Amino acid sequence: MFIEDLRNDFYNVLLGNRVLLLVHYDVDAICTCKILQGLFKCDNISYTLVPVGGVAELKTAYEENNEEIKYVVLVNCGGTIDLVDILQPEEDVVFFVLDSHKPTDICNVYSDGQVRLVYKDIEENIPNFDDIFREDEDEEEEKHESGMEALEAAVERRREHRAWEERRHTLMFNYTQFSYYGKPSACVALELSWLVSRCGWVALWAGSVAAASHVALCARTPAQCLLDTDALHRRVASTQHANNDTSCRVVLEKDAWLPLYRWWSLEAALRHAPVIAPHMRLHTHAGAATLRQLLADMGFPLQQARQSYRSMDVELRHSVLSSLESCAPRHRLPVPSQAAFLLQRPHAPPQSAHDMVYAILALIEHVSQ
Amino acid sequence: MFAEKVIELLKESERNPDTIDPFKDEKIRQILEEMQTLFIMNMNDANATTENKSLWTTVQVRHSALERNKRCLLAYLYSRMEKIKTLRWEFGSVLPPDVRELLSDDEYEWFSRYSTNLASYMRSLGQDIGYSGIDLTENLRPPKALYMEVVCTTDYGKLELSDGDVVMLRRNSRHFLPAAECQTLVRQGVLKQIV
Amino acid sequence: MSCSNYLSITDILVSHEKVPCKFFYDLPKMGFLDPSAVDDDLKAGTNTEIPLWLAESLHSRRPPLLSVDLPKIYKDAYREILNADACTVDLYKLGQHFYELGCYVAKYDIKGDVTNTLINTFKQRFRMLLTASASNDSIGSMQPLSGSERKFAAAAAVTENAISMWLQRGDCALKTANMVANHRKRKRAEMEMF
Repeated sequence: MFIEDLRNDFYNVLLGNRVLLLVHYDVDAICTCKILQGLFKCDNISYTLVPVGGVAELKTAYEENNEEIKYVVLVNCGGTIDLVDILQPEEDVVFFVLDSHKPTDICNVYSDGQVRLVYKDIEENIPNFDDIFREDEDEEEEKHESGMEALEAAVERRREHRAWEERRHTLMFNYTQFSYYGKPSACVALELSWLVSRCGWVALWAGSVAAASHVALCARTPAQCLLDTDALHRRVASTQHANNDTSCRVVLEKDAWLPLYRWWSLEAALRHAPVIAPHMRLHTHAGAATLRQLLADMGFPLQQARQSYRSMDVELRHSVLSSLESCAPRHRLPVPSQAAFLLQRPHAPPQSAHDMVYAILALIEHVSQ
Repeated sequence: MFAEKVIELLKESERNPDTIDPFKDEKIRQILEEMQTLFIMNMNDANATTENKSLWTTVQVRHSALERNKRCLLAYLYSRMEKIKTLRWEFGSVLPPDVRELLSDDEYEWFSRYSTNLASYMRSLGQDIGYSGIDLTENLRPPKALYMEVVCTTDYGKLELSDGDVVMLRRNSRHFLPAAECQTLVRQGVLKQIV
Repeated sequence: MSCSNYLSITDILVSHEKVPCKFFYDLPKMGFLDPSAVDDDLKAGTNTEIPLWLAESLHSRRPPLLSVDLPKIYKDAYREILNADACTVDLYKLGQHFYELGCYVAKYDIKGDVTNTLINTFKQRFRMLLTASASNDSIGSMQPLSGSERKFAAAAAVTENAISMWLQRGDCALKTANMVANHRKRKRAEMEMF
């Protein structure tokens, strides 16, 4: 079933109880987890945090930790599988699922309160209850009639049943044939933190990193990404007016779409940018020459572009975006800039949400002892 | 030379001021034997002093050696006693078996009696105002927050909280629990606090 | 400096150091005290080095059985060096328990110079203590310090660490108890040896 009121039906239910948090290994889930942890710490909600990588791990994690736990929150996992069937929980355990993987499993949608979905995506075309589930009344009615009418009625009913089944089959096929991503879970968690009035820059930053991850990994179309982050834009805009000079702020600015250019050298960033490199065919023999041509057009000396970004001249650094935009049409590149979230910290260089996405991905995939 | 063995004993125990060594039963016996020999030699010479006055100085030397041995042995036992006291405050009232075998039987009996003393003292605190005693071994540092986030370093098993909930503590599992429950486990090294 | 506590282990180790002395009386059967003696008995008038505890106790009998002389590091030659510049001297090699032994030995010094030398040396080396406690190269800077100096420097380092952590975080994380952590480390080291 879907939850209507985030605050009363989800958060207030968890207050005062112990919660099991099962989190998947992806950037969006990690950001959501960060926001939820912040909220739980403020309200002293005891929780046990277990990262899970797949369905098998989900099962083991649930089995190990399910003593005396009444509320389980699943972040980016469990939405597309039949939870009650796989985990075999007890009657009074409640699952809250916040999953951006779609399509949501039908049994989870029409569960009668044990599995509660925190966010309803409007673009999902979830089939109606009557089209999928139907009680079997056939056997009962047969006894009451007799004779020819009974036979005809029986045949009629069976035909109707078969037609209904075919319709159901098509509906389910259409519903489950593609799997895709919905709104980032962190944006939902951000709404929740706004509703309980605990939306600080940490939560905003986590939300922006999650939104950036969907853009960077091309999980959603650009139009949909923009719609998702609509609420986020509004929140960021409202905090920009607050005059707080000493702490960190999240701002929305136009930024060059070169991942990690602030940490590498400009040339390396251009060579690895997904917007630029394939279009300019930098992987071919002539690619190096094309890159040098682009840098020359932008007005950057080659030696400067090869050093680390921080050691470039200040004027050059400030003109990266504008020179890139002006050169782009000449080389037939798509628009190399986008609206990006930046974290401005006092006494430190600003951080881009995109860079954070790649950094977190690297950490997730790096297996250390 | 006199009193060499005792010094070895003391030097070994000084080498590890933070942990307690196994009780050197054998060495202590040897030292006591040495003291016994010295004493007997002294007795003989003291009796012989009446004839030979110069033996008196030898008796003095041996007597100093005996006193020195006694002092060193007492110092060794005293330093061990101080360490055992710290053990009670750090490990809790039940010692893990590998620590238990480092103590001699008498030392262990001392430890249990110290624990009983401490427990009866703690119970008696605040009795005139109606409390049933205060546990002095928790909150050795002023607590900063009601709840804290911890990660488990070993497979500890089940931990029962005071409100009946059971938490399963496995290696590398993260929990957010009331500070009062976790404090003893953090001091024992089972849990580690995350800041 | 260490107090002469009966049960203090530092005190016992200090009084194990040898001092030169001269015997006034014969000591039969005590020939082994002097490694260069030929026969079983120690003759009056021999100069030898015996541990401080024995010297102190024999000196305090009435009449005293021996007279104690200053060890060479407290004599004139070394006193000159220390008064000139104490910071260049490696006290660990010279005498690990330099200050404590000096306190004991100063009683036997007629002129009273040893006391002044001790105080001067400590004053000059105080700054070395502070550098050793604050520096990263702990082994190199602790090398020339005597036993008690090292203890002071270590305690200073611990305190400084604690205050800087407190200033940074404003609150301290709970840690595993000291003895428990060291016990675990030793157990692990022992298990790795087998």
